[in-house]
Amino acid sequence: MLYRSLFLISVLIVTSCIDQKDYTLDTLTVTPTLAVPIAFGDISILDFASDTDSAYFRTYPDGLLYFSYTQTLDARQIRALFDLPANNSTPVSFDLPAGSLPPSSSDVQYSSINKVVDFNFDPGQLTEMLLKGTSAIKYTISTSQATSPALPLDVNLTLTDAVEQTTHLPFTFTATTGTGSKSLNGYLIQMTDNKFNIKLNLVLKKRSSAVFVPANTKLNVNLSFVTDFAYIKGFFGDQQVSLPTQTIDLTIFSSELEKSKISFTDPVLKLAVRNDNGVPSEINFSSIYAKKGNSQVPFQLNPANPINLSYPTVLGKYATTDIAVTNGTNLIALPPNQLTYSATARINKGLTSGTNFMADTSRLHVSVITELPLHGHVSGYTISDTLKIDLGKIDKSTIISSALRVKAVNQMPMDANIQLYLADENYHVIDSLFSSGQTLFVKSSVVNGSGDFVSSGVNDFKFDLLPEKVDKIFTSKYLLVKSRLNTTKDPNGGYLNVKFKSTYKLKLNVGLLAKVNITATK
Amino acid sequence: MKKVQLLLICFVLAENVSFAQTESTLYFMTSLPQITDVNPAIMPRYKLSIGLPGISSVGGTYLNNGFSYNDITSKVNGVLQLDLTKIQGNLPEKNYITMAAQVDLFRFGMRINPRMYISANVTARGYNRSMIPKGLTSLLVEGTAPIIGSYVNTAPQQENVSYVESGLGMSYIVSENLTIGGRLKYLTGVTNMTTESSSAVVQVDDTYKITATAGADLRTSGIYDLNRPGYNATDHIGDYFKNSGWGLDVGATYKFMDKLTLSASLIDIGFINWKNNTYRYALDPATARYTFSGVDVTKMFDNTTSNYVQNQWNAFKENFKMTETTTGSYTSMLPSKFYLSGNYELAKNLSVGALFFSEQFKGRYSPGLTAALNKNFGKTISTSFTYTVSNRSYNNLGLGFSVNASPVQFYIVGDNLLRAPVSLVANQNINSYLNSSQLINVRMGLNLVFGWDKGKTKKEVVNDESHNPRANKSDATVKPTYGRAPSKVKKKKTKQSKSASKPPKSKIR
Repeated sequence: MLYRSLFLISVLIVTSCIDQKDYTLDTLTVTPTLAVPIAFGDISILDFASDTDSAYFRTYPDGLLYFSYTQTLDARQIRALFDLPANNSTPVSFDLPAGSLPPSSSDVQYSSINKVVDFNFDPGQLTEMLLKGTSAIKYTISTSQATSPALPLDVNLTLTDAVEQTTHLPFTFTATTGTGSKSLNGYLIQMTDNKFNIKLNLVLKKRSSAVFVPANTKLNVNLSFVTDFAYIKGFFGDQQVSLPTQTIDLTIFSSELEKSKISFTDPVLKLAVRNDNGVPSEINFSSIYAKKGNSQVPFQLNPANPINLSYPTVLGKYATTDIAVTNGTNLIALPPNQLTYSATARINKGLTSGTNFMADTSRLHVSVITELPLHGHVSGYTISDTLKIDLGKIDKSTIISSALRVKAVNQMPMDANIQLYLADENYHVIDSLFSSGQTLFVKSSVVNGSGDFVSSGVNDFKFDLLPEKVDKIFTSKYLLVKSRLNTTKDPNGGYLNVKFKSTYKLKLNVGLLAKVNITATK
Repeated sequence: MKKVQLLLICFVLAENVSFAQTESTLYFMTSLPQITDVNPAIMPRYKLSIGLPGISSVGGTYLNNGFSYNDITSKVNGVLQLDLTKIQGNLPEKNYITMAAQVDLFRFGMRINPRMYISANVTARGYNRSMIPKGLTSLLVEGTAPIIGSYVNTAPQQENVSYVESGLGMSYIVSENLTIGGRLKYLTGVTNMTTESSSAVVQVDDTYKITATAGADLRTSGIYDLNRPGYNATDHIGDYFKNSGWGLDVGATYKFMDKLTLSASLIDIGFINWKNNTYRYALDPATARYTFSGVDVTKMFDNTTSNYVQNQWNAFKENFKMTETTTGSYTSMLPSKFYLSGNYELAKNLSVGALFFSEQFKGRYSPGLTAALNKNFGKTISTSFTYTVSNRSYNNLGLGFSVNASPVQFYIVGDNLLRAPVSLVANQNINSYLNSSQLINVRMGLNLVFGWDKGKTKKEVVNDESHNPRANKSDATVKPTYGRAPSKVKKKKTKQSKSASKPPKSKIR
């Protein structure tokens, strides 16, 4: 205890010789110069495009990008041409025995009738039909005169040529007097020239008392068919349908491309007709032209109208016919924002027989396909983006000086003049970040005569940010990035036809060099 | 600010304080039994000494090779500010801040015959050394701009150990000129933290992209449990004695000329094997890597930058998460010291000395030089005044002082002690002393001492033939005293001696 006391006394003596004021720090101040990365990225042409446009970019095997846009003009059902069946009412009549019929202890088959049902499809002849959905046979059974009492009877109906698709069991059912229907869903009917057989049996049911049947009394059976087919086969006849005049918007050129001067070296414009129907068909575009405002350019087609269409030989397949547009360059040069057309489609032209098929889903699709290889030149292409700024947590007084460092290695044959605008919460521009003497100009790459990449454009900038500009960064809510893009020019200032390939990138690094004053007070 | 008080308390109290201090002034304080701590071959002047538990030797060291308090603070218009810019350019690449303490639990020393001195001690020691690389402070003070296109290593290192040393020593006079000594020490480790390896490289490329890569391998013993809630170390005191090791001190003195004595010693050659509560903390350089390049502009185009920075921060934390695993035993070496000195006797009880010393520990070699003026005022007061250059520190005026009120001896020794009273007198406080010091070490205490050795006797001419027995007898012997005062013998006056007219040729020393 003595020792500890002596020790503590010693410590106290020493500490009493210390003036604490020298060890009460008021502030800590450091002024480091921070080099901080702000942004980076390997930017491709796809990143420059709007979300709408970028969805249509594709790549050729050699890496050349192209803009692929397909717009379907029409998807017409040939089925709508036909009324199936044309005659859907089939009457059948049984003669009933006249006089007083004694009681009977068992059912007795009284009469049988075979009947041919004709769908009477004109001008074609069906050979096969698979029914689905709401397909049904409807019946009405009644006596021509009343019996006393009512004569108990059944009618057994069999569609001799119809079997269930999977079980292959024939379609048969029993009905009595009155009205009813029976589903034909899943039944396959085999026909010959639209005709198929049915069989009806009249069965007199057992009765406990005698029934009086007046003379010349008939049992009338009226059948009708509701057909909703999954497919039909046969010969559909020589038929024609008109596709009414339609005007559709071409959204492909509604982007920023429309606002710039753009030239594509080898644009590809074509029509494609996809035919799901197993029917020899042709299409005749009576009118088809591109429009932009009051300007319009008619399509020049190859082959010329009327155009035979390929058709599938197997149910469930389709065949496509490409129709070249030979004046695609002129059309693209508009550039169009609307397309107007009218056409007629014809099947089995001049034919009187054949084996056709058609599914309920079969269509005739007419599409416009546009392929714009990114090979050409453009000027004045402008892109912009908006970035939110939130520097609320930073004390702007801590920044003594600052500078932006931008390093860009550009493989793309396109230069960019970039300005950053500071905007308030209503997107109203307050100021630009770069002053008038400062230009952020990213040089394009060097290309050869074919427009292929030779060497990157290397750019290294350092911009001192004026204090008043820095102040405005802190009061801004948004940063608007605006870039005006132009493709590579030749030494004389003329635009070269350049290629944009998928591998070309703009490697960008943006850094901030800031001398800051960090002060901590007690 | 309580930092200084805290620092002072740490000097002496903290478990994890330094044993690795080199004490140069103590080397010249032959009046103290503690001198054997720096060279076991040196025989203390007292024939018997006893150190009482906890009070015979209490010492502490603060050592900073990088800066003093004055180097990092400025007073502008009366406002005291921490001004790290001031020192940044003058910092060494590695800044070592060492704090150490020791306290004798028991000490005993006795000359058992004129040629041999034995000693025993039980001493608790602690050591803490933090290495702060210049790169780390430069990042804070200068930012990342100075390392654009380059990199900087920011990895600190930490060494921390506490243990109890139980030593048995002996000094033996081999010949009239040569004395050797040694001490064997059994070491019982208490806590340890050692940095096997560490790296933390921050790289900034010319686009300001920042890449951080780190690796670390730390081992601890006896520390993990201390941080567990509800853990009471006193309930597990036995666990802390599982860690054992051995240490060795060796030394020698050689009387090169009549007044010139050279000495050398190697202190703390040894190790401790740590077994208790051992943990390993590691960072794998393969995964502890992160590059911040800013915001990906392609995500800006996609408007998918929300939480980008937060996600980056989370990724950073995940990559640099240290793994904590139990591990087997491991061995740590003691910081070893080397002393080489020369002492020249100008006059009786007045000498000058020079000392070269160094510490070698975990890849660091830290040398120093001391010049000393030593004066004994009989057996009552012994003093040593020193000037030491060490650890880039040049203002170290040391003092060793002991006063004997038999059998109690009080002493205080420090390598940078003399400026403290000067500062106190001049400023009424010791602030200027503390603020300008990079090296402060103090050792003080009370010993019980008995039997002052007067040292060498004067050369005297003896005319008595009886003092030259070899001249007369073939079997006569002379009791060697090896420079120490012979036992007092009452001289008898004889007629023969009185009548002797011719002085003998022999001398007794």
